[in-house]
Amino acid sequence: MASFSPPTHFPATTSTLTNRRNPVFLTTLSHTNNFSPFKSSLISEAATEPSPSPEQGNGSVAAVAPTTTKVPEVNPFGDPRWVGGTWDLTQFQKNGNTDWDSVIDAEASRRKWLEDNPESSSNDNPVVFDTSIIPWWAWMKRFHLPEAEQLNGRAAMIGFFMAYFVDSLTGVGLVDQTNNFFCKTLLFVAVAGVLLIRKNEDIETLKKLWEETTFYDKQWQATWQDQNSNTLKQD
Amino acid sequence: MNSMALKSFVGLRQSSLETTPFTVHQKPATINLPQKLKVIAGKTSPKLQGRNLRVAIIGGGPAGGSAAETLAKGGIETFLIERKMDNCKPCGGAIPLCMVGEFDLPSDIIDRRVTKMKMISPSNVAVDIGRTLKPHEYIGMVRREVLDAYLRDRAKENGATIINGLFLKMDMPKDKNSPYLLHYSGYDGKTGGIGEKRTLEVDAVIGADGANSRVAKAIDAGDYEYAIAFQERIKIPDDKMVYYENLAEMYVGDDVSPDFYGWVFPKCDHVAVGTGTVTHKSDIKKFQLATRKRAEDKITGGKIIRVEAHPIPEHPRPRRLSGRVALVGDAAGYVTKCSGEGIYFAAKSGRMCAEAIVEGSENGKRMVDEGDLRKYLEKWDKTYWPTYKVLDVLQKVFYRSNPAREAFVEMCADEYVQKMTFDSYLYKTVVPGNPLEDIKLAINTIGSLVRANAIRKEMDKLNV
Repeated sequence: MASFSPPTHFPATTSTLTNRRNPVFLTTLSHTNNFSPFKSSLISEAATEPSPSPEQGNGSVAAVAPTTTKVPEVNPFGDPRWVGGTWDLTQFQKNGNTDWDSVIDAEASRRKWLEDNPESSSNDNPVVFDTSIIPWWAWMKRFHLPEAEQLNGRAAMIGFFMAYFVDSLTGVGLVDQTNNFFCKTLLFVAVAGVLLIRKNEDIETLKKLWEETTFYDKQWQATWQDQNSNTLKQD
Repeated sequence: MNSMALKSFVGLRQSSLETTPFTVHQKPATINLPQKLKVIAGKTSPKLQGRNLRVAIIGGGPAGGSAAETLAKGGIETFLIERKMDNCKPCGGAIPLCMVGEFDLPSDIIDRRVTKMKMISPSNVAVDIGRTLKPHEYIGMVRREVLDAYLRDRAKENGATIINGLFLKMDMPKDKNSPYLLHYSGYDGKTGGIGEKRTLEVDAVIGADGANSRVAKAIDAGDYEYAIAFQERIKIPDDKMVYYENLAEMYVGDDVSPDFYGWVFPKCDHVAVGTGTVTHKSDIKKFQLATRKRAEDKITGGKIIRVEAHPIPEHPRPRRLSGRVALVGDAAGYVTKCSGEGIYFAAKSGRMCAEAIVEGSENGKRMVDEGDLRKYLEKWDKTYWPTYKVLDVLQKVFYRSNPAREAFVEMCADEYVQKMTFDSYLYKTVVPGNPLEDIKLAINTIGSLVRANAIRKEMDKLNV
């Protein structure tokens, strides 16, 4: 059970509302990652929640304008730490340092929220968060290390028992095993297996991946296959 | 040189095997061979007596129009059969910069010059791309009816005969020199009505009749997987239109499409909002609603003026060529993955095929054969295979899942990526680039993918 609960969303997050009410002006494209502001009329609150009109089939004219049909409103994503389209790192402080784990948690919950309730992308409130602001060691500590521990554990267990097994069968000790070509091959296979096959389903996944890499090529070559199979070459 | 083109294709044809050996040879080197070994190059084909080579092109879109022009210029008697002269096609309408130069398109054909693109990730991270474009570089947005009509008219000016008719079927020739007999309904410009059944005898046929090609059916070209592209043309208020003055948007996400993207492309005075999918065609309306929702803020107050949909091929047909019939453009399946671009490749393949025919027939003086048309396929595959493959890899890697799309959008923020992407898109060459930057790019890509997938794992935990 996740200890981190989804962020509470205030019905009218005041910061976003005031942004919407302010007109923004046309500027040239800024040379940063940020959005290019544009001139827009004031968007009234009512107009920003239009429900898409029901599909009326091909060819008929329908309006995208706000309709009177009531659609149950889902509040947009809101979190006190989400400021100006990115996470405000000053609110993630723990003991004077940024608590990167909670930043990762917050971003995960934001993405989960948006996946379940997709929102309109807005030029007034652009999202500019980039996951690379979280330093590499935070990712390592959180994701790589536990997995590495698990995989190394598996490899060690397999290694110990295989070494014992081979020794009991052939009398070749550990040091001599490492010099032997066949044993080295077995070692390679074991390491590759531990890395690639984490669950039973991975075997199927790997097979499919392999097919996928060459599938497109085969489709392109199809027109030449016919030719080759019936070719009788003339020198 | 001859050995390449001299491969017998007897086994492919379902119609009768050739039983009559050639009686007219220019080169004594081709000796009497048993039936199966017909190994004669076009250059040694019989010279046509008293007439030029006749070629019919079915379909008058970009592929047909440019093929017709090249054939007509090459001195070949060209017939272009198009069923609807004012066809307003459901199409993104984006053409790369190189097409304007290569096909001498006048600037008034281009409604808009898109110089900025916005990529929007599933979590609405928006990235602007286009910073690296030089002032003269742009993506041209055209109206298909304008472009297609222009290319057809130019073909007509060069001597092609434009026939308003619907291709019905084709009788296969009895031997290597017999003509194809085409059956079509001639409309004579009157709209509606059934049209008159007519026939046309030609020596070679180019199938440029699009994704649902009848020519492809006639030569048993096989099927391809296709995506459904669904698009609504929406007229939005003028002040909102200013935003889309020269900007196009791409939305990615599972809500918008499981294997493609949703788009907002500016057209002459409205925007086209659409999406597409291969694997979940029945949910296309749902995806369209989601696309409209994502673009909601920017298209509020708009009115839908047209709804359209069309299939888009995902890969080439198993057989693009049979006898003296070749497929080009969408009929052959030359649409790229990842971006779904087809106009340029249609026009270019039409031209390439026509050039191969002109060359193989020595400007219409000789009969062509399958080997000459094969040359077009060889040239095409050699020139554009890298482009198609790279786009296929990109699609496989970055359109897989939401984390992959998030990583994709993150990568697009990088200037090197933007430069490479636009260079290869605008000029249709796979640019090698700077190796050091490539390594940095690879590392960053892997980093983005790893981070996005890690966050996805956290998201899954929230589910539980």
